[in-house]
Amino acid sequence: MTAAIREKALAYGESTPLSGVLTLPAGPLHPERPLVVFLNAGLLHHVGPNRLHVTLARALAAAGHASCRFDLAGVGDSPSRGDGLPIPDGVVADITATLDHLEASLGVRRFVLFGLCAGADNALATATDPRVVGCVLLDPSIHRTRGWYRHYYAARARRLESWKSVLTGRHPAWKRLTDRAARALSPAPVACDAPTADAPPEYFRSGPITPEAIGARWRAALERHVRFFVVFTLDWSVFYSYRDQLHDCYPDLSFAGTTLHHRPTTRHTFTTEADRDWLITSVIQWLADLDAAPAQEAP
Amino acid sequence: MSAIPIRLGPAARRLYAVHHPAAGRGRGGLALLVCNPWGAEALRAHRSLRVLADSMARSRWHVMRFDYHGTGDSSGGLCDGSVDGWVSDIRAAAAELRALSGASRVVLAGLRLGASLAALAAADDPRTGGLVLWDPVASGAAWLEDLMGPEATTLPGTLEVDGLPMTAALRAQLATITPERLAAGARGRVLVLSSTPSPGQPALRRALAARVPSLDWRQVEAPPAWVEQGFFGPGPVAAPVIQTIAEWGAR
Repeated sequence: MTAAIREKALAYGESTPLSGVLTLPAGPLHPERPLVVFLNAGLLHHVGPNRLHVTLARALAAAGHASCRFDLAGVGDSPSRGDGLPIPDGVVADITATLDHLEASLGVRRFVLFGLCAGADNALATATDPRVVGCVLLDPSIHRTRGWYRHYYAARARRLESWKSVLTGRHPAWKRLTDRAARALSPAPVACDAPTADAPPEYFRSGPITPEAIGARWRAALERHVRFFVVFTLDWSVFYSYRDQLHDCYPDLSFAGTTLHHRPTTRHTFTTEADRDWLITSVIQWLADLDAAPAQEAP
Repeated sequence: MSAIPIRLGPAARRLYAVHHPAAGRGRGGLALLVCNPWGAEALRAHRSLRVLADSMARSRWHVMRFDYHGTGDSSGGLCDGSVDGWVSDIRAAAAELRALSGASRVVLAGLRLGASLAALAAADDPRTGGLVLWDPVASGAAWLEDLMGPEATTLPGTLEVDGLPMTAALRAQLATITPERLAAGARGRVLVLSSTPSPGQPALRRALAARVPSLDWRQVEAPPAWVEQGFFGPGPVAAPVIQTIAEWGAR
């Protein structure tokens, strides 16, 4: 860690104790410069997959940005909640409690929420908080469009390996067919099917995610002029298969202030150093642009 | 009582730790230090180890979990890990736990590579009150072979496993882990929990039995806490193993 960077373990929260780590750049904090809050990627604790949040937090601090990574109640180092809130409400309450704590203790008034996978959904759900000025969303929930089918199957048809797997019986479609046949023939009902790429399991995320519900979250945030940095990766190609799918999914929304990246060779958890370096550089640049952008009042 | 996140050690090797204070009076001068596995195994097993720490704290043990240098929230970059360094981190965390709890001796409880590091750290340290080795990596060479699966990417001088680099120097150090070396440091009460067969475990059992007459070696039917469950997720909570350790600790 660079000597000038400071890190501090945090314990806060009134109804439910929460744990986190604050990473501070050298020198005094600028209250108008957004502080980045890393949200849990699913049920993984606050360091993130392959230590992604720690690596990013320290790189951001070296570039002058403070950040906090914390665990929602019941995840990582934070104990289960004691206030009886259901998960969707509890997730938003914990993120809000974290912003409250950081505002009260550091005087910071502007925040960027950073989320991967379920964390991205949770960030979008909390983007209505007036202190949230931006969100970094890596592989958020998205629904398929007609264009998705066209691009996805065209890409698969171009791959020789797909044809080989169909002919040799290794293609996932064969397994789905045989599983379906086995279920149809089974006298006992199947209580809980194993998750597949077509039906991802429930994550620790903030509520129902119908297309309408997600669209409403985008609309609410975009109307507040929240800025977005959005990435869709290789492992999300089963949901997102071409660059402008987000626009096609919500044609009545304007994503003018959104930086959108489709990275069809990047893994979901940014496993290569090259992809992590790209993410760090891109997020730092996006934060600099966010700093420079004039504040816009919500209508 | 809630767990308390802290940082310990010198600035150049600042470690992140979580202290789980004992519920009530501590246990006869003993405390428990939890030693993490490495890499994705540590990430996936985090929940099981937290549940273990909570469970032991409820049984009046002072418990501490921590991240080695170059891992988790501790200082250091992804390529800064070394076996000797991690063993010294265990000793530093044990010293902090003794200071916080007032215990005179610390039982080292490790999972997978953490168990191996715990056994190495116990050597020549009379303040080690015992060992709990949960599916230890008995043969470093065999474990490295396992890691070199299809998901591993070999970069010049570096093996990358699940997005985490493992340098050639670290691989060379890990390859020196053998059953005999691990058994040589064993002291105090020793509990070994084996839920998943792995290379070197039979040899470790023989070597430990020769050194520790009261060796308590248990086969436990439990899911592997360090293996991904579902979609990019953490591992399952290995409740039977945690229960066995809690019962052992209550004696």
